[in-house]
Amino acid sequence: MLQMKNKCPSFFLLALVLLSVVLVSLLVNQGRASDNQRLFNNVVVRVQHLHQLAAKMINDFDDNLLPEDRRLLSKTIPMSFCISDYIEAPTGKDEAQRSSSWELASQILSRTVSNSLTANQINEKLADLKMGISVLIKGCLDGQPNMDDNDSLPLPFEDFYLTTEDNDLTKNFRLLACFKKDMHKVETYLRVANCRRSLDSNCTL
Amino acid sequence: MECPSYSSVRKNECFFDSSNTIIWYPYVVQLRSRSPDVVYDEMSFNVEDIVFPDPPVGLNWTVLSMGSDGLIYDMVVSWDPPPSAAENLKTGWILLVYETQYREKGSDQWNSMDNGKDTQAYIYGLSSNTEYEVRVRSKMRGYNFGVFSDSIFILIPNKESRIPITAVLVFAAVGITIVLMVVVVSRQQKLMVIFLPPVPGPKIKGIDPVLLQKGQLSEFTSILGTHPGLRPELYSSDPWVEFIEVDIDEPHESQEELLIADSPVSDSPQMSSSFRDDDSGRASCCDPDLSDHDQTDLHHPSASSHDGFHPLSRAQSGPQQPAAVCPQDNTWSNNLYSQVSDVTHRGEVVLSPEEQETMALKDEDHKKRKEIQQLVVIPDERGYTSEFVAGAISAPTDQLQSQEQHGAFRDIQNLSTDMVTSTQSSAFPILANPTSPEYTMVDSVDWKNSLLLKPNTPTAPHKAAVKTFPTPEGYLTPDLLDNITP
Repeated sequence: MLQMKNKCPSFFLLALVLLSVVLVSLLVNQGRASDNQRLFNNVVVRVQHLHQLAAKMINDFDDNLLPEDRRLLSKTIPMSFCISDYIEAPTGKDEAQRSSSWELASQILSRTVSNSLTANQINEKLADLKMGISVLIKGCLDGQPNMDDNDSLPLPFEDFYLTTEDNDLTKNFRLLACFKKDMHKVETYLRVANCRRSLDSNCTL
Repeated sequence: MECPSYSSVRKNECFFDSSNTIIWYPYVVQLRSRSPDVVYDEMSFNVEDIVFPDPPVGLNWTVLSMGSDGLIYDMVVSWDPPPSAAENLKTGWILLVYETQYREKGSDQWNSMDNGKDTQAYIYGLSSNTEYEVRVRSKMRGYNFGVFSDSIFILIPNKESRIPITAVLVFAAVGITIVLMVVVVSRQQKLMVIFLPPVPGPKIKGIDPVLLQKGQLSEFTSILGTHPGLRPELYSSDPWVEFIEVDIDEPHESQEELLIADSPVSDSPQMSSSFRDDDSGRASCCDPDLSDHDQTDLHHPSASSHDGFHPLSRAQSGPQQPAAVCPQDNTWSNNLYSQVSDVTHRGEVVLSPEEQETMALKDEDHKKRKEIQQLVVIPDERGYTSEFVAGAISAPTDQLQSQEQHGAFRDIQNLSTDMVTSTQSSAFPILANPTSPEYTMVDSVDWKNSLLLKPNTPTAPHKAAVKTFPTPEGYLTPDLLDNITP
């Protein structure tokens, strides 16, 4: 024992240094992971809040609606033909779990909605959400070829949202309905992703 | 596309489920006619808008904390998410939020609590001994609520608080009972008197048997020494007056004649002012002295009838000559009255001899009785038998003072008075102390116009007493007058 110690002190030192480096790297990674996780959680919470806000907005709209207008809305117009319906996104839970394209979809959704809605507060929130999602995507999904600039994506039916008039009851209703639905979608996608990432068996975020 | 399956059970119903639809996708349902494709009605929907989750299952409750008195407690209710959504919840595909409702049994109003994502609810401030009903329902955030779960009923009995209260009450009752018992036992005598007052026994008002035994006869004499009619304070309207009403109806008239109210008689005015009943309640049924008292009472009326009233006068004469009379007084007090043994055909009262008399007394009594018998014979008129009486009385030559006798007889108007005096001195030589004066002052007049004399005065005023006789017809013979002057 003594001889070993005397003979190879340098080896031990080296081993120690390596070990420490590995540990530090792991910790750093863990930290990043935890940062990511924290960011993800934050994003999911924000989306949930937005979804709740959208639901409340449309509920208020519905409460203030006159009965004849309600009948009109339900009859003539399909309830929500939103732009998000045309974006390729996983529509079933199985697809959502397997697919990894959900972040992109989320990003697009948030972008489109933020451009259309007139409420400033909502726009701010949506902008924040958009930024967060993009950060997430960059941080977690490395090497995604589809990550282009935010603004370069062409949006079909873009004029659908841009021609909003405050007095048009139908348009406003459609806008609000789409807003709520889209937020629900984003929330669902992000939650699934978060649960997939977190190793907890019981994901109850 | 056409309806995948028409319901066989009900009419005009089409069934489709999740296999036919996709979430977030807008759908349109149209009611068309078969052939010409006429659309009668249509409506659009999104899946998420028309669905609702199943109710949660597995409700159970736990007491969180209870107040010190056991009246108020806190509770936590927990449940499981609907089993059909368990998997989706795990993956995060859906997120359920819950709402709890509870109410008291019998109340119509529910209390709602929004729990959020937690599968348990805290309910604070519930009362024991009250049954509560709790139910839970779930929903996706922003969408429809599901059906309520089955209600559970919670009742927590209030056992703990009852026991101490009962024990406290029992102890208090026992303590109070013990205190009452102690009070009753310690104050038994007084309580007995309060609850069972002693029944007053018969007695003569104003006469205290204890005093009588001791020999204090002043009041005694005053009461019994007056005519019964002149005792107004005794004869009150109160039927419960405690004295023996002497039945002296029969010998009453003869007694009147005999009203030899001599010196020591007549105290009625004095008595009226000084009358007081000292014997209140003493002569009760429980009084052992009662028998003796009765005996003396019995003797009194007979003696009064016998010697013509106011034997008390003798009693009064007794204390006024204390030196000589005291020893004799005791015997005499016992023998104040003698019992009437027989009444002669002429109306004379024959008295029975006293048992306690000494031999000397008896002898004298015998003599006196003879005299008395003679003296008793008194017709209704007055003043007639004076000579006769005088002669009768002057016959004996014992210690009686002839002077006194004669002096007594000078009271012609009220022969009875004289006779009383003489009789008294003759019948009771013991009291008729040689030193005791036989003259007295007339105190008052009774209802038959007979004089009631005051008690004996000492020798000095004896002359004055004689002289103050208010009798109009009273006169002194010269020879008697010589006798009077000492």
